[in-house]
Amino acid sequence: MKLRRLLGSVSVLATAASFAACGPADDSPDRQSAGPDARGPVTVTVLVPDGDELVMSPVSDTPHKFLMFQPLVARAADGTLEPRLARSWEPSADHTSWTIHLDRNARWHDGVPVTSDDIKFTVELMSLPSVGYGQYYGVEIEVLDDSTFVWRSKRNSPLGDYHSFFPKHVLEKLDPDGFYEWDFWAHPIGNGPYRYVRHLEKTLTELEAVSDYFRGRPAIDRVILKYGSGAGAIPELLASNVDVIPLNAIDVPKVENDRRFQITYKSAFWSGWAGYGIMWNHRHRVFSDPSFRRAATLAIDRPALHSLLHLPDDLPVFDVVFTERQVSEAPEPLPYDPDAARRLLEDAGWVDADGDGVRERDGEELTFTAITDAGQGDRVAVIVQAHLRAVGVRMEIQTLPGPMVVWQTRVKPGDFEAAIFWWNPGVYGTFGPDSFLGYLNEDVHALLEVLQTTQNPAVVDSLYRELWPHFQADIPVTFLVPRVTLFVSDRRLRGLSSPHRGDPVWYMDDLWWEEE
Amino acid sequence: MLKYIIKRLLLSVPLVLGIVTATFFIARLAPGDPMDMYLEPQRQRQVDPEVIELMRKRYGLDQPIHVQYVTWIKNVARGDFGESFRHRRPVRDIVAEAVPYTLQLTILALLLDALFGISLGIISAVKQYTKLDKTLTVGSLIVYAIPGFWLALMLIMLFSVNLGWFPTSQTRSMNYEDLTMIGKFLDRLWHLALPVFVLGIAGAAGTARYMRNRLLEVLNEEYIVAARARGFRERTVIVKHALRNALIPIVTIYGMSLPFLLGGATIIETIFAWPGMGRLTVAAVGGRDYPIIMATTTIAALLTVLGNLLADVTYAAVDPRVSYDAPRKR
Repeated sequence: MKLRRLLGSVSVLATAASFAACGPADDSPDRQSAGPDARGPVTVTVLVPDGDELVMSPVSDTPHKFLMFQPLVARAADGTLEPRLARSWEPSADHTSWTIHLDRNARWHDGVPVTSDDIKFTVELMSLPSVGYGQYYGVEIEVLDDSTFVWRSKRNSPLGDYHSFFPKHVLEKLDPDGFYEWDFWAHPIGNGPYRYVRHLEKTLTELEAVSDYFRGRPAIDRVILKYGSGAGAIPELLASNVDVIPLNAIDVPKVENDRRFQITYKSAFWSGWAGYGIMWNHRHRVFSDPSFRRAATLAIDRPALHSLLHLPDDLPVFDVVFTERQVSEAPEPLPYDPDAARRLLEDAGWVDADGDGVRERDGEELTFTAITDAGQGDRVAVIVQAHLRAVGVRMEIQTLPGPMVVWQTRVKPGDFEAAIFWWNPGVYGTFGPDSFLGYLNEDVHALLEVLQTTQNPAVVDSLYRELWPHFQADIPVTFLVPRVTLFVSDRRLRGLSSPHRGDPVWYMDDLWWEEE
Repeated sequence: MLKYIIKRLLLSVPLVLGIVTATFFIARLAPGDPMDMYLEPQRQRQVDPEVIELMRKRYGLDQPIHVQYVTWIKNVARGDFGESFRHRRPVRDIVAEAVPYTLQLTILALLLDALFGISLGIISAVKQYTKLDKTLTVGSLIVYAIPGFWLALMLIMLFSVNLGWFPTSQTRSMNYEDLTMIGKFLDRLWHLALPVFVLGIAGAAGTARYMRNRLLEVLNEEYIVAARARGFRERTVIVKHALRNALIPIVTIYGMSLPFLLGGATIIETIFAWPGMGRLTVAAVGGRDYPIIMATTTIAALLTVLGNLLADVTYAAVDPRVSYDAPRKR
């Protein structure tokens, strides 16, 4: 009886509190979603990783930055660059300098025009040792006039969609030594499609569309960045508390059949390699043989692997490295052909004489250990293990805590047979003269040396094309799973497309809300 | 007693020092470099190596590890835990922001634990071998065995996603600023309900089992038999004689909960996006944010030592049979 009374009191208290407070967040008037043509403001709520104590971090790629500050250029749906703060740009012949023409209509949120001086000020400010940003390495800005400047750099291009610039007229008199304590980061004045409205500590940041934004007023009137992540993300979405969340591939089955949502992705599978692959140690006497690497690659059903990992069906499979301009141009990969794999292995002398399912040669079993990380890596490895076993190759799996541990403790020192993990030391670091794989191909090394000296897109693309036959012949790495960032959003949020415009935050000003 | 406390405090100095020293070296020697945050592969940008070196210098990471250690100890002795690599703000401020959130959660969870655990333990003991006792025993064992993270997710799915009674996460509603004072208070309670329940109910299950067993032990003591023989009412026997004695070890258990009070509940804070100490520590470990890792570890070590001391002192205070003073010579 007493127990019942106790439990009753608790539930009454809790229920009373819930009614007395405010009810679920989606009852709030500003959560009413409507199409761009309908009456009332359209608010999109995005779940973002844990908020800093400030509204935005000046040195991190947070959603706040992309909504409030514009880069010079952004990527269009087809992967090409399109204007943002920059109206147009002309590279020099050697692509070490760019003359940039700013859009004369671009304004800071306080109405002051965005000028070349703002760009120069930002680059110089962010290069100060006290700021420690480091991503304007070797960049020099020459101001030609208010809306024209020259960007000089042998290594850093201005045409990255991650750059953001800050207002000189607001910040120039502040002490750079107190950079991270500036009130500006708590009350930023940007130049992007959304302006700062309010910040509720550890809870949310609210932004509103800039009505006189120089590229036109965004259709989404208000964006709420709600802080939270991890295991609570999916429930937040299912409870309609948020419209967009970043998604782990493992969680795809929880939402993929729910008609309320759409899944998009943003890829990073160009500019070298970013994703999971089997990194063969070429110093190993079995893996030094390209026919073995080819056989292993033929034995793995990579589209099926993507499917088993709940990755998008349209993710490409490839055997070469390529640039973002060559996504659709990259040569056809090796198919899934276990019979061809078996033939190659038999030709190399690997046969299963004792009938245990594992091939041998000269009394030695075809067995190796692949190290991997305990994230997605071990899931990838288990599937690869089964595919290789089907052609008579036994792969043992050794799981380490994370990709960084795999890299620093085993792969970088060369203490591995094969490794399945993601890490991107760049094309040069992976396949160049100091290749951590021990990959030896003088022609490839020579091409990569040239690649290091140019930023000219035409030359870069041409060099990559020259690399392709070597990669197709050598299969230095078995590329498995491209690295992508997944998002799940309310289906009524329109204008998203993979792989370039899969991230709703980066392109919020081009999105709209449409009731079905 | 005072002498005992001073002695224990002095003895705890090398203990705390040992813990933080071990943590310092384990954290530094573990694979991973905090400066790797500048080299994330997906960034695909050229980061000035000189800047990385400058940052190393700024945070003293260019020094030999023993020099880093000595510097850290000296700074901590002055109350300076350094600057967070990730937040680039003083660790002291970051920890100070997280502590109130954790305290809200843990104090209420402990209260719930005590309220339910002690009450149900008493009921169970008094009604030994009845249906109620058996139900409570099985129930508390089940609750005790359920992993907290699973229970949290199930409750979120039921009460937040399906029924919409409670928020899925966070500490307050989006319209918090528009609420009245009472509204704000109720809003905070509303957000605390699920995480506090998950944390408190698991503790309560354990406390209930402990309380039941302890009370049954006491009820079998001779002085209880004597009290009953003297004709005291059963209620008086239980409340005045048995319960007071049975509660003594329980009090010490709560004394040892001090590290939990400030250390937070890592998993529950993470699931409910609760910005407390537990979540701060997890994020710091993932990002190799050494200054925060060291600060939270030092606080946890200090509280563990103080919690143990508090438990011992409380034990002596509530149980007259226990004395830490030297016996008087006859």
